[in-house]
Amino acid sequence: MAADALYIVTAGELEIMTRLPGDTAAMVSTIGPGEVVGEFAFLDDGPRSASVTAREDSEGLRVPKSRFLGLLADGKPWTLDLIDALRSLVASRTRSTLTRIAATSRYDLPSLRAPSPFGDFGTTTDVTPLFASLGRLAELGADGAALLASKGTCLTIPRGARMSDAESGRQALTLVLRGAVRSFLPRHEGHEQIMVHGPGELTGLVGLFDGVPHPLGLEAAENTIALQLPPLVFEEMRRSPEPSALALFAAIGRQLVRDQRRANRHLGRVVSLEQFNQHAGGGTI
Amino acid sequence: MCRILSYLGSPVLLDHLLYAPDSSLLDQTTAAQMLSMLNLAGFGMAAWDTSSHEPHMPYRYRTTQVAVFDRNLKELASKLQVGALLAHIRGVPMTSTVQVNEQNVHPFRFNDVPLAMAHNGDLAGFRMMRFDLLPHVRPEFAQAISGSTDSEWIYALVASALPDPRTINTPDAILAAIRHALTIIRAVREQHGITRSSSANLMFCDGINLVAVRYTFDFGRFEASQLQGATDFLSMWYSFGADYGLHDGEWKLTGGAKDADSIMVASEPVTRDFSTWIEVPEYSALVVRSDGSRRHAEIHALEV
Repeated sequence: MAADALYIVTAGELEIMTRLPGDTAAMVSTIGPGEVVGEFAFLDDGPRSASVTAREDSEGLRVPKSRFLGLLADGKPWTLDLIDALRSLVASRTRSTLTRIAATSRYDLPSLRAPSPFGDFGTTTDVTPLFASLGRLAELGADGAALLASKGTCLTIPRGARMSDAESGRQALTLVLRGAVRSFLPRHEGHEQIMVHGPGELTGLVGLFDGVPHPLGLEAAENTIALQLPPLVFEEMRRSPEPSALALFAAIGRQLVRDQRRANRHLGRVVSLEQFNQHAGGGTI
Repeated sequence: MCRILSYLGSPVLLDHLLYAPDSSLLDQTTAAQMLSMLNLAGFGMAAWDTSSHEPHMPYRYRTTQVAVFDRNLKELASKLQVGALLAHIRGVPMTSTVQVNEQNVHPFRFNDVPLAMAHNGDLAGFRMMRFDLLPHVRPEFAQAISGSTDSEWIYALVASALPDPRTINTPDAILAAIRHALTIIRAVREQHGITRSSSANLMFCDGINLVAVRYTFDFGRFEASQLQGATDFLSMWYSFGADYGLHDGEWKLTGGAKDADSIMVASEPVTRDFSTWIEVPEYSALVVRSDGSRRHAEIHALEV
C-alpha cells in the first residue's frame, strides 16, 4: 500500500503493525469494512513507521492525497466534512492510546515529576509579531495571526505552573507562542510526562474534537507565552472555509498526527523498557 | 550543533557502528536526517574493548579532519571490536569566530577520569558565564581545560561533582553530578539574565555505564533573529536488542527486548527506517547500568 492515499476498506480485514526496539513486531489495530487506513497521508507529510498487511483478501476504495487536496482547495463542502472526520478519527485514536497508557501500571518511578502548583497567570497583548518566526503556522500569515489573536486570550505562564488538570472539563485550545508546555498523566506518585509542546504547537485537541474532558493535564515546562482560544472559537472555525481557519486546521491536522506518534512512542517505550529490564533481572515497575 | 552516537553491549566491529548503517554517524557529517546543518568541525571517539590492555581505558581518537575522508579511522574501524563507544562529530556555525582545533573535539575525558562526555547543543552567553562557573570546578580540572567550548566546562562541572572522579562511579552518582552541574548552569544563566533557549543534550560513558541526557534550558525562548534550532527540542533516540548487525538488508538491533543486552543511543537514528527507535523523553535522562553482563535501563525526570 502506498503511503500517499487514504483507503476505505469495503471488505476483508487489515492489520496495522509497528516495531519496537529489539525488532519485535507489535500489532496496533485491525481495520475492517467501513473503516479507513492511511489517514495520516491527508494530514501530514512525515515518514510512516507502521506497516499495513491484509489478514484476508480485502477490497477498498483508494483516495489519492493529491486528488483530495485539489478538491479541498476548490472549497468543496464535503471535503471539509471528510477532513474534519479524519482529524476526529486521529484524535480518537490518540485518546485510545492515552487510555491504554493510563490503564497500565508500567512506568518508571524515577520518571515521575512532583505535581506542579496552580499559578497566577499574567496576560499580554500585541503577540502578533511572535507568530512571524513560527514555521508551523506560516500559512496563517500576518492577517490570520492577528485575527486569531483577537479571538483569544494571551497568557504569560511561569515555569512550573499547572495550567489544567486531567479530565477537568473541556480544555481551551492552547497555542504555544514562546516557551513550552508539558502534557502529563497524573499518577498516584507524581506526574508522568507524556508530551512536550514547543513554539507553534497546539494542545487540548483530543477533548476539543470529541467533547469529552481531555485525558491529560497541562503545565508550563518553561516560562511560556500562550494564546488560549475558547472551545466555542474552535467550533466556529472547525468547518469554516475561511483561509485563516483552513490554515489553523491544517496545523491542527499536523499536530494531531504528531501527538498520535508521541503517544504511541510513549507506550512503546514503556512496554519495551519493561521487557528489557525483566531480562536484566530487575523490574522497574 | 553536533551528532553523537553511544553504544553499550556485546562487542561489535567499530565499522558497523560508525560507517555501515544507511544513516551512519559519519553519513550525518553532511546528511543528518534531523538537523539542517553540516558537521564538519571534527570527529572524536572513546571506545572500550574488554580484551585490550587496560580494558577500563578507552581507545581515544580525535581529529579535526572531516572524518569521512579519514583513511586511518576507516582502517582502525575495520579492525577494532568495541563493547562500549562514545563518538561525536562536531558541527559549528559557519563563521571565522569559531575555533576548530583538536582541543575542542569531543568526547572530553580528563586524564585518570574514567567518565567521558560528548555534548550536542550550545549554551547561549557562555562567554559571559564561564568565569562564574569556575568556583564550581575542582582546581585540577580547571587547569585541565584546554579548549574553548562550553561543552568542556559542562564536563568539568560534572566531573567535579562526582564523589570520586577517578573511579568508576555508580550511574546514580553520575546522574546526581549531572543534576548538580545543570543546577549551577541554570543559576549562572539567571545571574546574567540569559533566557535564550540552550540545549544540553549530553552523553556520558565510562565503558560500563551510560547516561544520556536530553535537556534544554529555556526551551522555546528565542528572538526571531535567533531562530535556529529553537522551535524543536533537540532530538535523542535509542534502540536496544540482542544482536546488532545486518539483518534482512538492514542494520539494526534484533532479538527482542526480552533478550536484549545491547543499547544504542544517538542524536538521531543511524538508519533511515527508525521504526525500531524510540525517543528519549524531553527533560529526561536515560540511565543504563551494568550488572555483570546484564543491563538495566531507566528513564529519570530531570527538573533543575
